[in-house]
Amino acid sequence: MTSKFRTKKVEVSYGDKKAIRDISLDIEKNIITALIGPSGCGKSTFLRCLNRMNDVIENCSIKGSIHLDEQDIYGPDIDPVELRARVGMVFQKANPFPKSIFDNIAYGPRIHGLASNDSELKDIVHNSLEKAGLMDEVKDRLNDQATGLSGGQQQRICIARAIAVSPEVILMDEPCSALDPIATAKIEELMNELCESYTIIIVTHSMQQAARVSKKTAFFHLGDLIEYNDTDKIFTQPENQKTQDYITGRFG
Amino acid sequence: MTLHISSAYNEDLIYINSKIVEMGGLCEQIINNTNLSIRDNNVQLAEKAVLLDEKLDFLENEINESVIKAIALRQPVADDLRVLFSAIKISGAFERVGDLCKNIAKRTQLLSDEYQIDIRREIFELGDKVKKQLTRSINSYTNQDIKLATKVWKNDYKIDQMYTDLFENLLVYLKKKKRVASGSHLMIIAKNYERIGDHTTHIGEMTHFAITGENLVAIRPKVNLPV
Ligand SMILES: Nc1ncnc2c1ncn2[C@@H]1O[C@H](COP(=O)(O)OP(=O)(O)O)[C@@H](O)[C@H]1O
Ligand SMILES: [Mg+2]
Repeated sequence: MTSKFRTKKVEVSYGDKKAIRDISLDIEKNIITALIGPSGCGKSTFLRCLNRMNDVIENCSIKGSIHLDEQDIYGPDIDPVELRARVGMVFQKANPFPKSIFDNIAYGPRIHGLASNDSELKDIVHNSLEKAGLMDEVKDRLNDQATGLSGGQQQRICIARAIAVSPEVILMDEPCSALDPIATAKIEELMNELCESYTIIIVTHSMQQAARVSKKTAFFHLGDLIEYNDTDKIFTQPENQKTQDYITGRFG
Repeated sequence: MTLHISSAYNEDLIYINSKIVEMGGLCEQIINNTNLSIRDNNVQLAEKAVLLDEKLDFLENEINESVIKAIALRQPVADDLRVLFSAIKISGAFERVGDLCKNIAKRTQLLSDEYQIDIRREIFELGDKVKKQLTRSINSYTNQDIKLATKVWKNDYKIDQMYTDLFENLLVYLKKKKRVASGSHLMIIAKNYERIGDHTTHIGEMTHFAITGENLVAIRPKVNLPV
């Protein structure tokens, strides 16, 4: 296997409160990895370490090391803004900018200077919408406000927005928790297509979603990484009792 | 075992388990009646076996419905998934055991008196061996005993061996007595016992799978059956 991310003994504290500790995890390239575990176990905290979103949180400190390919992402030569283009993020609540559909997607390419003229920018936008499976639905209203779309469509706008800056990794923090089953199925289908080109890491509260979409699953509990294995194995024959109790609904 | 947060789920699982245990108990009764009906040429016991088979069919149906409901409502994973999957397989095996016993019991009533003590005795011994094996498989399930489940699975060849020997003896017997109709029934009875042995093995396999998630496969001692 080729690792995309390699984390070693990662520990994150908010003030003097440890949120996660000793997380050593190799994340495989071009597959979907699911992070599961009860609320507050540190999934989002861990996810945010991977594109340094924790940097912007006051009194959040991190120890250990994280390598993206062979590069230390907390090294001195890393620009967090560039890192976040390489490692995009999609959140639980779809958060399109209060701008047109076109401008939402064009935003990233513009600030990162990815297009040298309008026609290139248009290509990027169209391409991203295409990849996010949205083009057919929005092609006649690219200038409409993105906030007027349905929840599922807004979430796919956010995915298209992440794709537009040609990331290597897409982090998704409970991307479907506010969506109905059909919109969820569409996002899951999209994830399956996207993982051919991108490495995807998803936090989800739905065991079935983790089982359906991911190849690897990591189970977190109270800030510890309890079990990390092939998803098939986790859901049919977990090794750790805590994993089994959690995924079968035996403790809260 | 930690309980599920959902008490209804816990209750469903307990219910399904109790129905499987109930089926196991009925299977022990049915094979016992069947065996004795052969040994003693006892028609009442044979009729009882036929009635017990109906109960088994009914219970299998109940288990299937409960498992389907649990799968639809709970989307089980891990040990729950294995337990529910094996519940279907095990209750299916019990149901087959019931059918085969009923079939044997019906045939015992068709055997002519020509076939007296000695040959009945020989068939009874095969039936008794199968019964013991069945009891072990039921105990392995009830006590969640991996060791016993594995033992059941490994020992099936002994039944196959016995069946093979019995088959040879029946051929000799048939040629001598020239009772083709009764002789055919005896052949089928023997074969049915051998099949019950197979289902028994499967119960051991599924019990092992439910507990460990591992399939017992391949390297089981095997006897090549004549038919
Ligand atoms: N910005 C923050 N400031 C202080 N504590 C936080 C912050 N974010 C998360 N935490 C704490 O860190 C722990 C892990 O939280 P989080 O990573 O959000 O868990 P999860 O995503 O698994 O629900 C929790 O105890 C939470 O209260
Ligand atoms: Mg979270």
